[in-house]
Amino acid sequence: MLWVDKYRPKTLDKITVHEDVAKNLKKLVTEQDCPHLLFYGPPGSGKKTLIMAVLRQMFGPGAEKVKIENKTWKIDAGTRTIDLELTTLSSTHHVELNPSDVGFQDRYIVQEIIKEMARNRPIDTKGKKGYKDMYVMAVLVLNEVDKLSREAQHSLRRTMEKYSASCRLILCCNSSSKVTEAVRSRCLNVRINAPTEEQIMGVLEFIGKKEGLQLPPGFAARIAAQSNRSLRRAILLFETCRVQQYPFINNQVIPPMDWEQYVSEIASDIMKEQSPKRLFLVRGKLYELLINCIPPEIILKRLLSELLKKLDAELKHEVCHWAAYYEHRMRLGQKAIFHIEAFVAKFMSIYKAFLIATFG
Amino acid sequence: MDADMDMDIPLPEELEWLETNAFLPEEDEEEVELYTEEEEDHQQQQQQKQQIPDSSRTNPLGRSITAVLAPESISIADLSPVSENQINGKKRLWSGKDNSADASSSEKVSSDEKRNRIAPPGSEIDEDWLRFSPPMENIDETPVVVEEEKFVSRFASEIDGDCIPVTGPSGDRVYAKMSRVERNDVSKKLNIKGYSYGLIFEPINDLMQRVEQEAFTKVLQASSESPSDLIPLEIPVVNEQLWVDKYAPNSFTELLSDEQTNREVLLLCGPPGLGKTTLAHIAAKHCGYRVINASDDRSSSTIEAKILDVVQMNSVMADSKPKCLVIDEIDGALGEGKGAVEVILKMVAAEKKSDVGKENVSQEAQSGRKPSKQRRKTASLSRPVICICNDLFAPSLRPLRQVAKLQYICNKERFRTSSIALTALAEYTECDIRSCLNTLQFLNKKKETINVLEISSQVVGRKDISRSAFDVWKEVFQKRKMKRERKPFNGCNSMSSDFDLLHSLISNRGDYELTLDGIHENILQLHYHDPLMQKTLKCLNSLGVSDVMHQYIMRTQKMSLRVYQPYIAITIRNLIAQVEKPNIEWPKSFQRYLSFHPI
Repeated sequence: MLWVDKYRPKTLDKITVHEDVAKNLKKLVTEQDCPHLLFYGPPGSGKKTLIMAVLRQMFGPGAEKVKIENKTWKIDAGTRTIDLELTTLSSTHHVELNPSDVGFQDRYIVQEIIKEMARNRPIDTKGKKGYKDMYVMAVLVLNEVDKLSREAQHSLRRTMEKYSASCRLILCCNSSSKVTEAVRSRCLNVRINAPTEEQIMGVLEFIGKKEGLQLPPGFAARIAAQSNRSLRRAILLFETCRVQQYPFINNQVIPPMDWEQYVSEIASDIMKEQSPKRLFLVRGKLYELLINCIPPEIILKRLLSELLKKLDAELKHEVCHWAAYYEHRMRLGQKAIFHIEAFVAKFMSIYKAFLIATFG
Repeated sequence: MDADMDMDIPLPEELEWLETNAFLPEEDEEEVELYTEEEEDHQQQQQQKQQIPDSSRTNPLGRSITAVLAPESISIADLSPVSENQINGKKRLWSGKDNSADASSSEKVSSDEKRNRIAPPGSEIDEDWLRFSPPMENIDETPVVVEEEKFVSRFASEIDGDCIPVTGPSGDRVYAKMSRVERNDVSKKLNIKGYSYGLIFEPINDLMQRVEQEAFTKVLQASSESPSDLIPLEIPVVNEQLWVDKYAPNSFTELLSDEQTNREVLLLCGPPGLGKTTLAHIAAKHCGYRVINASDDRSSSTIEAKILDVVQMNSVMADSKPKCLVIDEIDGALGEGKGAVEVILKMVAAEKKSDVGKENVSQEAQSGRKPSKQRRKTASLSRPVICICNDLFAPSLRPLRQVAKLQYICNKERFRTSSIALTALAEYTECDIRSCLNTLQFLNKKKETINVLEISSQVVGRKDISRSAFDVWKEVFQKRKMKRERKPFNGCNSMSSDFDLLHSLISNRGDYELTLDGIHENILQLHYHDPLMQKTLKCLNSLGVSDVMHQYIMRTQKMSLRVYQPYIAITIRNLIAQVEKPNIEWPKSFQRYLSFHPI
């Protein structure tokens, strides 16, 4: 078992990073009826951990016994029927799903499936001791709400109101700005900050103690600095270092993530030559990254920062502008490769013109 | 298919007639000689023959009128009342007559026929073969009594030209004028049988020569634009037949595809409208087969039933004509899985074991998909199966010949055209003669003349050509060579005609997603001059626009916005198209990426 999973706190009491949030949530869940919740924050900050802990607080250990199901639904959309396939993670008390997986048809998920689930009260929860009767209701956990289309979010709004008696929604996303106002106002918004480096160091030292490891001084700090304030990444890096070399040495190299290295390779490729042929080579590498499930937004961001490192100060502003421009387009569209490539072409064009102007 | 159905109408009757009459060996040889003499009149005959079944499809009144007006048909002046029965009783020659025959008179058929056969030998006939000629039957056929002394008379001297004596049931004898065309008709039919009875009587060189000559005369006739020797057509306005069917060639020699194709192996594949179906039917007719068309049945079960039909029917009615199965668009049947082909293979294998030992003439043509295997098996099939498929890689017709044919038809229909307009039309429809004819007929209905402008503005003339994705990509990446000078119609320059062409190509293809993915895949491999990456950037930006647009369309379901997608491809083409041949690849890396990231 990865340390990330092994040392994930199971209950609200054990949570160390967002202690105050955990305390409030516990109060909310135990003392009064829990509203719909919207957790938002950067990746690796502990949203999912909090959600699981809240569920456990509501339903007891039963909430942890989850099974993965790959369900298909046939949806009758007027003139045609649509087949939708979606992976769900469910226990007897809650269902977790990722509606944006089905792309632009996500509104059918919201309109039909979630409504269907929300409508059906769970029957067999009477007589559970220790937990209050008011949690005789289904909880739906929806991930990546910010990636839901606008139409889907509008449909969600109605569902939230209509079935609030029998169902609670817990929404989870990275950025609340992409969740419509209407949905936000119907939820209790919980912002989960990225953990500070000190917090990360604390967690790493805690894990080190549990694993019985000797940490050289400053080692945890270096990992925390490299983790970009993502606790998940910090723990993964920590474990990687442990696998690479133990006992740790003082100035042990903390390996960067593979893909980050790859992106910096791409950046140097771009700086070396600017031609359609070179762009073709870059395309191959970009595909490689995308196929390995690196999100395109992150690739673009990383690529920009790698390019900025090597770039003349004069051009930085313009390149940043175009990176933002193409990221915007990328989010509007769905074929990320088109837009990343267009950004690379734009950069090449700017850079080549600059080189010619400077060096003739 | 309309063409098939219409073609089928005259066939069974003619073949039946052939079967009953053609087995006298001494006749065959005579007919061969006759044939060459009457060569010239072929087209007129064809014209006439086509017209008759045509008119029979209209209402009964119109049918009878046509029969009278047709100059070749023999009218009889004084038919005795008794012979009225014969008129209706006769149901041999023309298929349309069946409807009008009443039940009581139809019983007389056999006796009437016998009488007709017996009568001629007693009279003075100079030509032996006339015994079996249809004009005899035609006399009885004429449903309306017309006073025309020239054709039928009590005295042979009143008739100039050939005549034959006819004895009515009452004992009256009249002399009927022989129509030249009718005789030719007979000779040709017998002749056809003569060729196909054995494998082939004449050396192939002679046949080739004849075809060449005939094509030459036809072109001559067409180009001279002299309607003097054409039969004036008096077709009533109600008489509507698609020109495509009307002018469908009835023999090999009339086909205007490559001779080589018609003679040797029947490789029946090619773009739509080149005459594959017609060719199949003619081939079958030529060899005396009855054509069973299975083209409409696409599922394996129906095809199986149909084939069983063909085989079993034959064993029950042993004396009837052998049948020929034509499976049109076999690639369409293939598309729904290999069921259909497997059924055919199975049938063939079964047939092979219980070899009935009949004519083993089998023509078959294959698409490239299952070449060797099926060919080997079908070869021993006792029932020929003609498979027709569309294959885009086959060479198309030569425009010149097609124009010649078009002009010939236009003259026939007294439709004034200019050869430039016809060339334009042929080019416009990409040498698809079916499409050409339909356009012409449409225009003829509207007004009298056509000109170039007309054609380029005719939407009907252009058919939906859907090409493979590779064709589309090639069109995008490769500039057309300017050697084929496109005349700027309507003041447009060649750029905009290219634009139109590509636009229709992409829109007809439809799958913009795939088209643009393919463009994206191959765009960086092209050798265009782009030192500052400006063109590349523009292209990629355009692709980005198409992606954003696509996402928007799918999200909002505003499908009407899809019409703007082809313009993106055209923009890219204008930026980067090269004269050299591109090496186009399927967008597999993108699709591999998609398989990891289902959108």
